[in-house]
Amino acid sequence: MNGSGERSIERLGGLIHSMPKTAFLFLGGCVAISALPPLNGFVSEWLVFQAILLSPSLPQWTVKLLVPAVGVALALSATLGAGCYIRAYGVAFLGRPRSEAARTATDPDRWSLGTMAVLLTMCLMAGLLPSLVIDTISPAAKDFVGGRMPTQAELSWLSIAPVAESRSSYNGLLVFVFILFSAYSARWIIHKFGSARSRRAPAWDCGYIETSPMTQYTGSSFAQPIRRTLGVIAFSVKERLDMPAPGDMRPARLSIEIKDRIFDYLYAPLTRAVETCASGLNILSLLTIQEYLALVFGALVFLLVLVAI
Amino acid sequence: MNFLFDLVAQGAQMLLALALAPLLIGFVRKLKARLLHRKGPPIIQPWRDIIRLLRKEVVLAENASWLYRSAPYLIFAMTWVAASLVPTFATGLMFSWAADLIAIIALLGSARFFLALAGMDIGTSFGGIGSSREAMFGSLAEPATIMIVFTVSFVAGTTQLSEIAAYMAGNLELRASVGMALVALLIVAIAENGRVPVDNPATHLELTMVHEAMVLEYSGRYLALIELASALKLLLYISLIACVFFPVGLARHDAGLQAMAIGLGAYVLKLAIGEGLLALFETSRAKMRVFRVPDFLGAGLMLGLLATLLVFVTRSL
Amino acid sequence: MNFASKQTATQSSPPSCLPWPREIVDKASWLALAESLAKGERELLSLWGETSCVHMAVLEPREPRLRIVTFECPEDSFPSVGRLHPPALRLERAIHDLYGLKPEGTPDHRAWLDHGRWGVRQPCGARHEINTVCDPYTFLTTEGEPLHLIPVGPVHAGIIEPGHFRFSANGETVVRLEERLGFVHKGVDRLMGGASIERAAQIAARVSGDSTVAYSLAFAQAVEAAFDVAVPPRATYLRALMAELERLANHFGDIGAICNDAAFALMHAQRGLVRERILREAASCFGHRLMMDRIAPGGTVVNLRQDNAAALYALVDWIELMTPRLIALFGDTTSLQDRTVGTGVISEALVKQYACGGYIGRASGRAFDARKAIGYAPYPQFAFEIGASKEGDVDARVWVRFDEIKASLKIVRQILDEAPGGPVIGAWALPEDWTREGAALVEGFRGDVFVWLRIRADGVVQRCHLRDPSWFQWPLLEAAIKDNIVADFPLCNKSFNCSYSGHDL
Repeated sequence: MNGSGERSIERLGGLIHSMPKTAFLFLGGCVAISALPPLNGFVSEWLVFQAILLSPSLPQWTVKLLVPAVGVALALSATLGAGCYIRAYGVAFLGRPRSEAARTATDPDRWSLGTMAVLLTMCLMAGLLPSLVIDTISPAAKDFVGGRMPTQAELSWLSIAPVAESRSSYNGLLVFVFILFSAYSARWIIHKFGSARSRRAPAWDCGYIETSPMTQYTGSSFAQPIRRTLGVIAFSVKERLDMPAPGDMRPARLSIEIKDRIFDYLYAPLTRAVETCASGLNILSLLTIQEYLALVFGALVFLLVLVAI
Repeated sequence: MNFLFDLVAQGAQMLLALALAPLLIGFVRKLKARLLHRKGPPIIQPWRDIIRLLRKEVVLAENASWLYRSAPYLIFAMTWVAASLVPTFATGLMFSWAADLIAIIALLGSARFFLALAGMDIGTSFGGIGSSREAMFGSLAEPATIMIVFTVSFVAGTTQLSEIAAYMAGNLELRASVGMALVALLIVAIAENGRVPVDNPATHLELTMVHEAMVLEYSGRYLALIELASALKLLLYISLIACVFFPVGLARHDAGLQAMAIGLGAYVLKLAIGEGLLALFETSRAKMRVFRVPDFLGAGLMLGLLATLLVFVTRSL
Repeated sequence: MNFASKQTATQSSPPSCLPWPREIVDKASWLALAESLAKGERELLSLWGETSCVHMAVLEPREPRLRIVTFECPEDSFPSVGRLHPPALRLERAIHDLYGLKPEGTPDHRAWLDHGRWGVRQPCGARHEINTVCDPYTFLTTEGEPLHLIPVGPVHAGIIEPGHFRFSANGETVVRLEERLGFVHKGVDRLMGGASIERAAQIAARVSGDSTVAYSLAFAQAVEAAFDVAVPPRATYLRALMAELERLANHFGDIGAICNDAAFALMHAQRGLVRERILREAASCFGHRLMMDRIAPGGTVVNLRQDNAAALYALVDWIELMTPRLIALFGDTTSLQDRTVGTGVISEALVKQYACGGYIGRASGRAFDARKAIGYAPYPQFAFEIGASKEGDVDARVWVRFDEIKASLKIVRQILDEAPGGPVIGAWALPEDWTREGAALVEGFRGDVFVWLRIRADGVVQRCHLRDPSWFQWPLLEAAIKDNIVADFPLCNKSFNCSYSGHDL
């Protein structure tokens, strides 16, 4: 974000051209955090799912019923997360710049890039060679929960299998190699027997050559379908639309009010309660010293009575 | 020797999936045309289209980035790998343990992720339309799939597809939870493959598109790869349904050539039946409103969750 | 208000315009008329220009239904009607583009048909050459949340006419839709000026291919009115037959196309069969699938043979058998009903304001049909019901089409039963005395087609104005998208099925 000096996502766009290195590293981060194979995020998600799959053998009923719900919540949040990062990456890095700042942005210095690169490499390593990581951290896990997973290093081809190979296994490295192999062989075959030619032309976009970056989806637009389907539950969203009749030249207007229900019903009463208390307590600070003493004495008596009962 | 046979079988499966996928699309188009009293193009037509596209020059939009150019290869590779990990005619092939059901679903999720990004790369409105709709559908379809995976895995005691198929083949019984999971998977499959009533693969109306809107700017070999990937995805889902819920005729990897031939015949038959049902269903329905789709997918999600809970609570249903 | 005839003083030719006289009015009467349009006392039928004068046709609530007034503007400007009555805005913009007459006080100064690509400005007026390649166009604005634009067209993925639609949207919510048309401008006004009657009839038949019979009929009726030509009775029946066949073919086509937009290909295939059979029958009866150039001033060019009549009976029987099946298919497919019911609603007030004709008007409660309201021959002889609904959604527009199909089938049967014998074209000659004017209002499948023309004594057309029903339907499409999402627009658009070609002229 420093590279462009712009903080609003609605004014970014096209950073993949002006900040190519950052764009690549950021993409890696997005893939990792969206729990997509073959990076590390997916390995963690996979292990959690495997743990859930073992839960029917748990003794407590409540936990047993709770676990599938946790599973669905996890799956939902993972995919919503992926949608969120598509939005973030798509609006900020892809497309055409929406402002001058985005157009002239540059990659940050070598150190920042280096840090990001190291982190991404770690993500990649953890994704591709999860067995080594699991073995490394399992002593720590043992200390915390008193159990550990079977040692993974002995399994062939660096794959992981938390319980037994017949039950479940995952091999990030093999999948990764597979994908790379397929992609490159497809590319090689197509370039050899098909065509490798390409040329640049204006975008097709239905014939009307419109260069304004306004034609791109905004972050708010991208999120609207999800906001409309899922938002109703978590938030109260009000879209107020003012569309003039045909022939009316005044501008059309859309305003959206988003209220976080959790905030409204949980935090807001709390805030109000705290505010009432605070203003009540404010009076205390205006009391004279005698009144203070009286108050402290009263509180003491009250506490003693409580203890006595 | 055994190793070599396994390798050949695995390779054969990958090539089979690749070869069959466009034919599958051609077959369903042909069936639909026949249902509408039309002759329809030959079944081989999708392959011809793909080869024609592969030979064509690519016209790239002026501000297409490296992401836009590499995405088709990634999408194709991820879908192909996922498709070749689903048992088609034989179980327990060489690399089938490399990824289980969850990983296959997640690979498709990765492909979707890159496709949605590629849709936004040029910065046209249609790409955005497609990507945002895809993100909305995906955010409901994937949890539903995970719930289905849970149900099936609880029943079979594993997430390994070959093991699941073997279990299902060995323990043929009617279970309510498995039935629900099947219905949920059908819903998800229709949505994920952009078929009627969720998306119309034959439409020319840009404003109603989902998948086609994302790939609107693609041409030449890139388009061919994406078309191939979406054909593979359809094949994958039908294979998945066939292998998990109807594992009849599946050969074991060490069962020899004859069993494999039977498995292959059964597989092709299952694909044809699946396609026939799909064509019938598509012909008899209109496309849904965009905001009706979450309800449709939500039903899938709820069915999946219900199935999982049933298995959890009763272990026998 | 007093619109007493102040005309004829400057006219060189007695009867000014037939069958509805044309009056020349002053500024006050012009504005008073515009105000009465805005109040909804009258309905605007058309507004068109000529070198240094503008004409306006309005629909009166009482007989005579039509009234044509002229405002002479030597200063090349006239009081804007659109300022008071928005339906006139686009017509005024077109007048300015073509004739250079300025609407005074108009809120919308943008060009409409002229995109700056003609190499000339005001081709029918001052005609000055220009060098621009393309004018910039200012679209109407939006405010509020971060919105994005979806420019759609003019080139579409399907094989349809070119038009540009610009959505301002937030995700799927449409905040504003604005149309930009004029991509198929052909210069019909200039082609008409100076053409012979035969040539002008051919041009009129090619203004909008799907309504070629309606346009030919309207043009022929206007010429016949101007020269007071009697049309043989058999010719009026044959004309009505062609018009109804055209209506049937187009309505079946539309219904299928609407369903196809909802990805319901079954209906599309079924109605394709019906439409194709109608077109083939038209070809064998009249020698042209679309029946183009079959109507000439004075009658029809072709006669209907006895064996063709028998084939038409068989066709009507077959369609009457098919229609209930198609209706059942449409009404019983719940997934399809889910798409069409409540989508793209147009209010009755808007339809009345725009005097919107055809199935769009009738689906929203404006029961206007030129076949009944004007009652040109032979329709007064027939008993038929016009479709009507008050819902105003896509579904209603489909049902109105089904109603019209039923009515048309009935009319075709009546024509076949009752058509008298005799010649199909009467001999008529140019009077060679003075310039004549004629007007006609004819119901095409899309709505009422209005034609006004002035022909010199030697048979040369001086000015011919053709007004497509789409002029008053396109603006309503912008309103139909309200409270709908982006993905439902194609369905709304297809249920309107406005003409681009007939509008852009």
